[in-house]
Amino acid sequence: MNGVWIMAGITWREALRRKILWTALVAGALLLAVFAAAMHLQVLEFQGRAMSPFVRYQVEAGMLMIGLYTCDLLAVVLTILTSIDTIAGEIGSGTIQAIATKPVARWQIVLGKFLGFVAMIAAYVAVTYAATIWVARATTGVLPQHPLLGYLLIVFECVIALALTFLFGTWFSTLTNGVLVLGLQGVAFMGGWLEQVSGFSQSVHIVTLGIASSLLMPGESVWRRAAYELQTQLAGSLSFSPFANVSIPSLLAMGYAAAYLAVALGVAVWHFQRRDL
Amino acid sequence: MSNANGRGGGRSGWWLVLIPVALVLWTTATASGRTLRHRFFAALRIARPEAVSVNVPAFSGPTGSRRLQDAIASMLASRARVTREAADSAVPDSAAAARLAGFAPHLVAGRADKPSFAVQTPRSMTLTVDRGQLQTVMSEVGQSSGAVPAGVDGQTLTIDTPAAVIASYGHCPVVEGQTLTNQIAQRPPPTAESSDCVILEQRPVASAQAPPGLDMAQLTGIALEVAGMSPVQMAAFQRAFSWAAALALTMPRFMRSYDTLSVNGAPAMLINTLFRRGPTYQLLWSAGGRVYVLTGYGNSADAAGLARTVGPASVGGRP
Amino acid sequence: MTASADFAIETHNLRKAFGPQVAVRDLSFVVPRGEIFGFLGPNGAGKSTSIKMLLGLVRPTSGSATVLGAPLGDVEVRRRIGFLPEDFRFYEWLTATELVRFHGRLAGMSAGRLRTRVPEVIDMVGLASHRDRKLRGFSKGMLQRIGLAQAIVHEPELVFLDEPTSGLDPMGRRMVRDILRAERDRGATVFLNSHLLSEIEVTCDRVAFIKDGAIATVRELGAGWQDEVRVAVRADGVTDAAVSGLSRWTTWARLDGPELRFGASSEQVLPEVVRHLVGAGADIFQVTLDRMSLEDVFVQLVGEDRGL
Repeated sequence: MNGVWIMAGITWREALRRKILWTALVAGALLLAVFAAAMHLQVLEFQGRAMSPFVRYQVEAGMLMIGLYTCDLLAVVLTILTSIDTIAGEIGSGTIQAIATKPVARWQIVLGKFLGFVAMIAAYVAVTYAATIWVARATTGVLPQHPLLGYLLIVFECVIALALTFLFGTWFSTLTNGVLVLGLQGVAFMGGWLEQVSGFSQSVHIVTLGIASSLLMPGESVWRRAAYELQTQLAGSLSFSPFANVSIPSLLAMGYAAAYLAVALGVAVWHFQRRDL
Repeated sequence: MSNANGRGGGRSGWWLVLIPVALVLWTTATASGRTLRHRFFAALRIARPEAVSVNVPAFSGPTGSRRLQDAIASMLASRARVTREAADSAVPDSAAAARLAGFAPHLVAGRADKPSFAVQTPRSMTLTVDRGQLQTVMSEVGQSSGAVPAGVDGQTLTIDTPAAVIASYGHCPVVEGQTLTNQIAQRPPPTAESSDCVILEQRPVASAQAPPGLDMAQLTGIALEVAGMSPVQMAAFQRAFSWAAALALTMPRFMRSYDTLSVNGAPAMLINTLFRRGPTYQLLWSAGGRVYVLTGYGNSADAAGLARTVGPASVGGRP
Repeated sequence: MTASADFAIETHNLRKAFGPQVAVRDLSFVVPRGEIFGFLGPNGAGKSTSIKMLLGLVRPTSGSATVLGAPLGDVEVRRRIGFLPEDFRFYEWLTATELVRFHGRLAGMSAGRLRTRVPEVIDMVGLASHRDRKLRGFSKGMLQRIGLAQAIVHEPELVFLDEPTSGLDPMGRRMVRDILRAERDRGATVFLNSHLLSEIEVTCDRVAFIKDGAIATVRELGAGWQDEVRVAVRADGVTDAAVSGLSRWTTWARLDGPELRFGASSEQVLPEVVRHLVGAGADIFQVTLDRMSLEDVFVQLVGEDRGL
């Protein structure tokens, strides 16, 4: 098990040493600045208006959801960009050879790297997520409903994408891996929004299509579960924000996502274990 | 070169591709597969409160409006059951409408043309109160959540809405149901042709069997705020309408302004809508145990004048 | 298998095919413990694939082998094995010290041992002054040196080196040679994969030639490893009788104008031969000793046309 921690440690250190994480933090800070400005402008707009505090709350909570969604998207993209190269690239360059010939089982290498990335993503999301909520609280006073659960679900979504980059990384080159994972993420993204829109167009077929794509890649459905948990029950049933509860993934869907993650990681380990390096 | 291996698995495992293909075929082409897929897909999503989203379209009514009672249902229950759904049926004349609805409808005497009649049948809805949800809503609105007694949790609330008579004057647009597709198809807006359209909807006030401790007036107030009214407007509205009258009403979704006025001594509320393709105003009032909604596509300045002429149909014309 | 105690590596009919392409056809050889073993062959002969099979990086299609007595793929035995891959590349954001320490930790070394051992090896490979520099700024030769350091940091019993001197200047090569000898003197076995014949010739105790995915021949090197010494003598007045009289010391002799060529089993015979020729009335201007080099053996085996 020692090998797992050494690999997790070096992966974590790699994330800190390389520029991409810091660049992503800068990007996050930029988005946060835009978000803060928007929230502030909204508050100014509301001042001096005879507006129901309820409606005001809904609009502001809706904006918070938009901020958190941006945070979520950025985290998923960062996950994919930082991890597509870790296995495919090290096999390609031969870096893996000096590691795989050490007294460390191959599953320990994969698991260690995986855990290192999970730690990095968890830290990144914690920073941007907390900052977004803080901005919303400081400007408008709104707070999400279940912040911890929402945080864990967002990290969960990123980890699903991570397991996919690991899975394809044991088979394909870095480029192919990136195209595949981003493609699947795109399918999930589109499926999620199709389901969301279906609430207005009321098409059963579109909902079916959305659910089918969430089976192919359940990442976005995890976000929509997070959105459901982050908002009040009522906010979901009114359509103030684009994240209204139209078609909410159930606990079974979350179980499916967990199983999907486990299978992807399991197959990645299995294939890395038996392939030639 | 190091990527050229692992091929052995790929070559002998090509048949694995057949599994998903077969699964997709089975769940689309065969009846048993479809049933199973429907059940599985349904289990993957949370079932939504029926009254709010299944039986009633998210947008109902010509203004994209929403029944106030549905707003209340979504506030205090995670599950609502519509035991009897209202249905519109056209009737030839006032007498036929009276027979079906169970009361003699008043007419707009200020309009000389002959109206067309429709009756909306009664509606019943049963909700199971979710105290936690109600408390969340109340704290969001800024009201103290301590007002909800613990005993109401899990109790049932039944709302019965009597039948309504709808009398349409002039060239009214046919409302097909406000789905997104229909809204897009409805362009161009029916402004010019429909400006003479006036619709009078009337029904006896609703009744509710509420568990003790549930303040229906307070709930109605919250529902009005949810519908977008400011606290001041909400207070004005509640002065004009009892909760039983309010429950029978439909609130327009997009409101531009409110005016309080009086129709033959009864307090009334004129709502100017902010809906480009719908009616321009709605005038609501309550009198004699009934609620009236006068919806017009023309100038809202005419609303009050028309409303004052509403009264029992007399054989000789104007009263 | 009592024999495996004497051999660091033992292979039996190892074969590796990537689809229809056969990289290693049939590999059977043994490497005695405590030797520097050279692995020589033209490009594409299967050297790298062979070394990867022995290290468990590549699974053989068929055949078997033991490394330090353990079957291929055994994880624990790798504690006692070091490896410098061809074209060593590593996380360039690490410093030299961090890299060697990382590999030492992977090899299971204790923190206390790492503290003294890591600077020691870095010193050994001549990078003492670059200890805390990031690998990003390293030249190819420096990377090769740090790669060698990570291969020997845990004092392995068996070290695999794949082209260790590529990218190194003559001083670097000499350093590698010295380190390899030191490793052998410590009791380690060294498996050296190289295409540099001169390198192998001066370093190795034994060399295996691989050709078309199979061992062509294994030779012991060192003093007097050659089968014969070839000598060319430029002289006047060498008679046929004198030539035939040489048969006492030589395996063959041929007179070619002013030049006499012959082969002998050892250079020990040279003074006798010269004395004999002078006694037979010849004037000798020049005697050239023509050792048969590894290159000659290599070319003989592989064939001139294949080239390197």
